[in-house]
Amino acid sequence: MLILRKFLRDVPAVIGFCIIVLLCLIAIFSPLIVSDLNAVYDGDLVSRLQPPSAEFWFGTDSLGRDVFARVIVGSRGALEVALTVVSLAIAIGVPAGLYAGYSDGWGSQLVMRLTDVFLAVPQLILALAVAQLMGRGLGSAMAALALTYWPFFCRTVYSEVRRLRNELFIEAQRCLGASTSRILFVHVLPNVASAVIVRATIGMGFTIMTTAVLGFLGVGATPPNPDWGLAIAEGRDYLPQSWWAVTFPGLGIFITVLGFNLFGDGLRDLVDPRLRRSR
Amino acid sequence: MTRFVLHRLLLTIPALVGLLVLTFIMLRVLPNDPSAALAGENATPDQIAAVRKAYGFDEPLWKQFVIYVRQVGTGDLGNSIISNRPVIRDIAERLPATIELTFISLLFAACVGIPLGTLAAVWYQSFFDHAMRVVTVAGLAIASFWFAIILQMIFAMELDWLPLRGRFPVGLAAPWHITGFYLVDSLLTLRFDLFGKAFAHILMPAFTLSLAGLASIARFTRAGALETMQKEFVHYAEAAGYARRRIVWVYVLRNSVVGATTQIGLLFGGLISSAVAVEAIFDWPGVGSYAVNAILTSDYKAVLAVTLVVGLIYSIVNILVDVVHAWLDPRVAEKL
Amino acid sequence: MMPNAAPLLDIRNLSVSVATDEGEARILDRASLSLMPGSIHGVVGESGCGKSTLMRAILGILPKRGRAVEGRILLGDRDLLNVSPDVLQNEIRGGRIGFIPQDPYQALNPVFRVGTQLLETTRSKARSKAKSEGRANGKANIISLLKSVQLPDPEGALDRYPHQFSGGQRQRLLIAAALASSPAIVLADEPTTALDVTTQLQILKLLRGLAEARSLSMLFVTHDFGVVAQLCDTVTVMYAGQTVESGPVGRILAAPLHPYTRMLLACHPDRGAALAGIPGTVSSPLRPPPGCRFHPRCPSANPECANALPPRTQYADHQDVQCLLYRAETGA
Repeated sequence: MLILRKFLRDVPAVIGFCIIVLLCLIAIFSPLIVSDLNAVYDGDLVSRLQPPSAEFWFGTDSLGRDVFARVIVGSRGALEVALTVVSLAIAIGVPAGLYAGYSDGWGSQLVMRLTDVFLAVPQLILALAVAQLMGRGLGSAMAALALTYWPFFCRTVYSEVRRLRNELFIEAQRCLGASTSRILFVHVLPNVASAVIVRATIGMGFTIMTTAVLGFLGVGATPPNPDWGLAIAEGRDYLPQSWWAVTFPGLGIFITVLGFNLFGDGLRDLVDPRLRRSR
Repeated sequence: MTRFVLHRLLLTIPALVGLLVLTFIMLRVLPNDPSAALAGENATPDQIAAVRKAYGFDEPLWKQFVIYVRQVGTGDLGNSIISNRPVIRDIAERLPATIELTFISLLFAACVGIPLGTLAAVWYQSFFDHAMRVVTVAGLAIASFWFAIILQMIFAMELDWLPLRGRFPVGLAAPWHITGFYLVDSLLTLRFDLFGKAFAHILMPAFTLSLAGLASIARFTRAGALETMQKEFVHYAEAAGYARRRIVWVYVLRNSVVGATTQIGLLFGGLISSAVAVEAIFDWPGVGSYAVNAILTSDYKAVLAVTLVVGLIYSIVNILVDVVHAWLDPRVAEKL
Repeated sequence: MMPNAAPLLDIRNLSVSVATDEGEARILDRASLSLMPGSIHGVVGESGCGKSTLMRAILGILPKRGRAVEGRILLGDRDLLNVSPDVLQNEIRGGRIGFIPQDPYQALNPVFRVGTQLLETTRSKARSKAKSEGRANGKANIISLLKSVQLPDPEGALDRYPHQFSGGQRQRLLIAAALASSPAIVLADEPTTALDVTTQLQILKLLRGLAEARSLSMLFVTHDFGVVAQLCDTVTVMYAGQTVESGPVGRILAAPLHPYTRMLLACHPDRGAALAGIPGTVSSPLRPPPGCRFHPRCPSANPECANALPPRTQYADHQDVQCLLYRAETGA
């Protein structure tokens, strides 16, 4: 209960949490919010590039599509992609980190050198290279992002496991005859879980941002996907007059990433002040 | 100290080798057999086999890898499909533009971010601190490409205060090439008018790029300073009567910056990533926009070359950062 | 030590409260203490009895959520609780009052040279003199101080980093730093706790010698009565934020008055026949017992002890005790 009270005192973190909850609700109930789902994909060219009005809250884009509807549906896509990527990254990174952290010898070294390789190149560049390889599109973008993000989970888990390995209670368990997998799952994993959760939350925000960049560059989502980055790219040609096509998707990105960052920060401060320094 | 540098260099080599392997896999192994494509549409199996032999595609993989490494070592990274010139030349030409942009951004981010972060830590839990927290988190949430477009819209399109795109006005001769950095070259040749033009062009891209960096630097400076202020030596300094201003701006700052230098390495990576989008938007003739063009035109040799070059530079930067860290904190070097 | 001189430092009825997540913690409860000129006065008590808070209150560096709620700290005729922060920093800390910290391994900043840090206390104080003259003087001053604390190679020491010195050497450095501005009073916060026994003895001897040579008055905080016996002239015994007994060391060791002092002395391995302890545990400052805070564990307690804080019974030679057992007696 003390933890909850401490969390509630961190106003920015609470705001972040509310944003995330709101976002999830919007994403889940988007069919109810957006009356006409077709307006997201098919536009009425007659009403193209209309400024925000009572009928079109965020105006219409160059193909006459309702920007508000696109932003709302886009949130769903963003969350889905981010969840997939982060889950994949966790699925690869956490076991790898557990293994590398707990065992010694060349297997552990190999895993860590592998993370070094993937971390040797800035993420976007690597994502571009992988996307180049697998063809452009949302699927390859997701794979690329997962491939570039798993090393962070691996590293976090690795250092946590290394730290715990030297703790007395693990030694005690070993002496009492507990098997390796039991030690890992019952004793190590719960301690590591908090670090993973913090990184996952921050990773959600980061993934949404990078997905948007890839969409903008034309390497991620493809039309007519209402991906926010793609929408900004499409609306760019009609500036500065039709500012709404660019502004609102951008605000969508901003609020979403902000929510995850604020909440992730709050979690981090709550869980372990030592983690404050890493990304 | 030299031992530390050598040790650090040694640690990087496996990563770079791994990178070579990775790019090799992406280049040769995963795409389908290139010989068929090279031989042409109506080639007979014999002709395809001949092509394969000529290009060495029939050699065992490890031999191909050795050839590849040799090629990379001599700088032969293939020719660009678009420009039909060696990719390495394309990149070398465009590198100064990217370096100039990232350096100015980093400089601005550090000069503003470090004092802001330190102040936020000193005035912990004050209104300034809370405002800073919100502003920095917001800064990290703003998509740089979106911010760039908004800046363009306001300052270039609406107000016409700053140039819309490019590194230098079209038609105007660039400063005499000494370093390749327009800002430096124009000053060295005392062409202050050219300096002004170059500065006006770099302003928006650099500011956009520095935003995330500034927020990041302010945050980890603040965290570092807070942690430092909890340390015993700060309590002692206070009790022993050191001047408050010196405690904060000399002792706390140095300790927190020392711890933060390793973060700058990570920051640099993020900077390069952001530079890709920012260069594309502002038509900045650097490596980032080159990579974007390459990917959109499936110029895969160029993309992989960029990956290799950027990976190498990034590794060097990380080594430098670690060396600086060891120089600032003497205990790090002695740990080995 | 002149019998009827005025105290150099006079703490009267000091109470300090710290706000915590779980409520208000009254760390110090009407504590009183007198430091006479030229004497080494020990402050002894268990961990958590408020000794460190007492020192921080004197220096004016209580934690952010802590404040003095009543009482006075008189330095001469000035109340340090009412003095401006600027005066506290420029004149008092590192000026009139020197400080020797507890942990020599943590107190020095690892990324700065020792010389830079030792000269820091005199930097801001030497504002009246010309800067370069002040700096040269300061350096010479520190080097002579390093010699007097018996640190080998004083000139070379200034250019080295803290981790290049042993624990005992670092403590000598810190002692020299405390004396840099020729203070009249030195506060020592358990400066030998982190050191091994042999080094402890050396440092204690050094402190005794320095105090006598420079006519220093020292407030020496410790949890070890043995150290008090070796080093101090007078002593104050603290329990749970209250100052229960004070007086000359010899007298208190021979005939302790307060029940807590008696039990504390009995705990010391040299003195107790069997390994004695004190039953019960120290109360939390969040929910302290009313009146005398020791009464829940006191063998001589009676119901009145919980009503109010017992009056202080004064004796000759600045000896006093805060206990209902002595309420009837008058001072000589």
